[in-house]
Amino acid sequence: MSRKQIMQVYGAKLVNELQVYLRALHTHQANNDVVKRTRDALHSTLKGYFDREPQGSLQVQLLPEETFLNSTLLPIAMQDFERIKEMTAQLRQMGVGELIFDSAVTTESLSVFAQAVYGCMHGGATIETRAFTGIEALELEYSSSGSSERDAHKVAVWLYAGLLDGLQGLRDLVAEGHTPTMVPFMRHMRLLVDLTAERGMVLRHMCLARPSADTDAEVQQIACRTFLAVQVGHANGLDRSSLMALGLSSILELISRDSAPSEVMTKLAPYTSLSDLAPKVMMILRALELARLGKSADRLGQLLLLLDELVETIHGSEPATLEDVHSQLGWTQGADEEVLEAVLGWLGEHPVGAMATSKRLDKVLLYDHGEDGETLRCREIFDDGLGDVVELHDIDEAQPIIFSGRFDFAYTEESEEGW
Amino acid sequence: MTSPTPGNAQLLDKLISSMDKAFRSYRLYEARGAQYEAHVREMASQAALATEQGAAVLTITPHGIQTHTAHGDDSAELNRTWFDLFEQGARQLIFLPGVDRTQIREMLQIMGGDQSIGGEDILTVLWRREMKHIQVVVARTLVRGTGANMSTEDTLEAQYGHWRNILAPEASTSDKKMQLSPDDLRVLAVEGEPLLWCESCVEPPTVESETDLFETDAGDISAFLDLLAGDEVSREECDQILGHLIGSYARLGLTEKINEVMALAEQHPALGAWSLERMLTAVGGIDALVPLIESSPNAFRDTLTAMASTDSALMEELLEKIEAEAVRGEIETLVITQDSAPLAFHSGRVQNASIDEQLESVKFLFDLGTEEAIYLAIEGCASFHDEVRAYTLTRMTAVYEDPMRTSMLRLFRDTKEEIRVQVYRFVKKSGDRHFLREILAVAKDSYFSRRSDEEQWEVIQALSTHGRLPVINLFFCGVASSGSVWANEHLRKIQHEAIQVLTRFPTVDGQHVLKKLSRRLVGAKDLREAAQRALAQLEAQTDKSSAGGGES
Repeated sequence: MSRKQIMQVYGAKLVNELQVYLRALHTHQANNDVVKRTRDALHSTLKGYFDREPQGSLQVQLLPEETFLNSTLLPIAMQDFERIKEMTAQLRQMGVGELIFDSAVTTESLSVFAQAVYGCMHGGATIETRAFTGIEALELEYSSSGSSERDAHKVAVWLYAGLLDGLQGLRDLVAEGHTPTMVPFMRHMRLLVDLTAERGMVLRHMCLARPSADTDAEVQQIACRTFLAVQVGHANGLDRSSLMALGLSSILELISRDSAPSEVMTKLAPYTSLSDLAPKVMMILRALELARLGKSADRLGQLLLLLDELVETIHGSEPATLEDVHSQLGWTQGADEEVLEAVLGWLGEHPVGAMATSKRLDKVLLYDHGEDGETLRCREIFDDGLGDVVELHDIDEAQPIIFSGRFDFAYTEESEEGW
Repeated sequence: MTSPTPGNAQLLDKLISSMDKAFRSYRLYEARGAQYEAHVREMASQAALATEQGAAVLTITPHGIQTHTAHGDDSAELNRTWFDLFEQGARQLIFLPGVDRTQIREMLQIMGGDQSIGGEDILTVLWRREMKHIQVVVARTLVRGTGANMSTEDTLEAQYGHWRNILAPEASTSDKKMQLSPDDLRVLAVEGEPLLWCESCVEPPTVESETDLFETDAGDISAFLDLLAGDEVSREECDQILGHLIGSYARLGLTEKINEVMALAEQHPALGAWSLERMLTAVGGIDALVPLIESSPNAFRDTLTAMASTDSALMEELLEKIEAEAVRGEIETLVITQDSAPLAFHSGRVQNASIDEQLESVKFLFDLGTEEAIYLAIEGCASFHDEVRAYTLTRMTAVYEDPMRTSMLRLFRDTKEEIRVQVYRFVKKSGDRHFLREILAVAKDSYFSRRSDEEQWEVIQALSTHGRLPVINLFFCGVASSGSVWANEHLRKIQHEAIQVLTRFPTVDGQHVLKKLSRRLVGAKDLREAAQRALAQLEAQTDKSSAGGGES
């Protein structure tokens, strides 16, 4: 059995015992013998783990239909499923979605925890104490972009933040002499491609915002370029495999950068987890290096080159204007006119995510193109946040459009008019 | 999505049941054989039935797959594949009208295959395949605990550690301290809700883009192989890349890609070292390829052709492993071309193709002139087309040998008189004893009189040419003496021929018959006179030879 499978078997046992223990509190007090027996069984199971992993912790996350132990989904058997679901719902009512155990857990601390649960269960309140000896009872936030469009921005943020961590991990691991698998990045690209189709506007805002100056520029640039590549590729009709190959190419450029075109394949040869995408990724990255040298190259390589320039320009030390972007990309050697037009066309004359000047409202954030996809809308920028979403018909064309969006614009609840 | 009616639910249950059988069969029979085929067909039929009125939506749960109305059986052993899919985020499997057997096979290949070798999860592979009539709905649930007791640094380190762990599980854990700017997105995401301000932005209406701007050669295998064959990678790297590439194609069931890369690599001058056998090893051996070939022989046309021309033993091994007769036949037809295997190609056409192709192939094989080719060519004797049989006979008579007797005999008994006549003429000319006996039997047969006058005459002619042979001579004795007063002109013509034979090849019996005939009071006068002339001629010859003998 793999480590994961062992964890799944153990997790199913642990969650069942937790359920039996908490279920006993329905009819008995925490100090009742029946409850104590179930408590001892749970403690024994916990102890079994911590005897082997004294430094470890067990994080149980309870979602309506899914249960995770240390981020591993547990295969709850059908006969236990309804009971676990009931326990999850009950704990959620108490404001608990996540339980973390460590080796300090004792039968006494389990009893104290049970007492708190008993109080909530029969008093209908939210749990007050969240930390017990060796036990933490925490809230759990979860989001599913498929179920709620408005939550998609959270998924987008986590995806972007995850990619930053992933890129950092990739860079460090390669420096340590490892050959990381590309499979997690493939899953990441799948989510990104789907999210691009559903909430491309959020991704666009995220990509065109300026990261902080003292952050890891290399990783930020690659993450942003990857997100942009998938969006521009999607807008130009690339299929899923091509989008994934393009995204993976952008990520793997971290490894192949500064290589001569002829060295790219050698550098990527060990990455066998690229599977059937290997030829495409290798050829795109080779084309990128050719394009960087101003030589004739495949257009997907040219696209990455232009997006690299775009990110570098808008992430520069000073906020760039749309004119700067046009000028910088226009001067880029090695890219065909058609590819340049595709990138500039995607940005548009009034790029959503950038800032413009309204004759009436002054500085505004170009927000979206409305329900009809044609009416430019904006939000006024205040010191303490953004104004309501309004249609924008009076752009002051004399003033530059500037790429100076931020991740952390203060959130202000919009008035009904905005919706 | 509306709930299915009870009737639909029943159809969905049947679809699930057939899918279950197909999966079991895939694993049990390694995706081949009659039983597997039967289960694939059954599943395709159930899918067609369930989608007749619209999409068939199956819900994926950690316990297996279920319809909208009923949970599946709660088996002790969890269905690993469905659990994996659920774990990866899949929540619904949707069959759309138009789903066919090819797509069912593709799905089984992806979901039933051993993806653990390649690492890529089933869901991503299915998603990337973009199957037109089989779709997977994914719920991208992301979970994040509030981490009340964890500092931002701890949370960031845990997230970084998580990535390190999934990217390289074998690597040691890192004690890296995360020192990020306060306005780094990761920090903002832990401490608050960045980008909340853009949650209400509206997506523009979806516009299908149809541009060929990026339809480039980045996915072109041929260009890629050119690079591999160049001096940019070492021999070992080339081996590694190519081996893994073919292996991943096989795992993902990308039959056309396997075919393309194998055929191109085989032909590539600089990749000559990559023999087909070696590529097969990369795929997982010929056994691994067999199910893929069986499912889609056409997709392997180029590979099989290359295999047939370069390594016939390998081809034979492959054909032996193909269980389905029909598929084997299909492969044989696919791989045999005029260039790669002319004998097999033309031999196959002699039996299957149109009249023109048969004639062309018979001619080609006879023209080749080799013993093997000629023996394949005479298979034309069994052709359905009269013209082909006639042409084959014409060419065969020129090179006739005893081992061809069976084919000749077939034509001797051909349904077409023209062909039989040709055989009689050949026998007349060649004097083949076997066929003379056969012809004699025909002539003696009671049905002989039912044959046309022309054919009878050809038979008589063939025999009369060889009337010196005692049995034939004796036969003509009988013919000559069998005349009657009612005999028609044709029979009298035959009797005249018999008299001629007895005259040309005199025997005691013959002379006796002629004497008897010359004295016959009844019957045709011209026959009596012919017999008398024959006797006179024989006597003159006897006298002449006696005189010659006396002189000597």
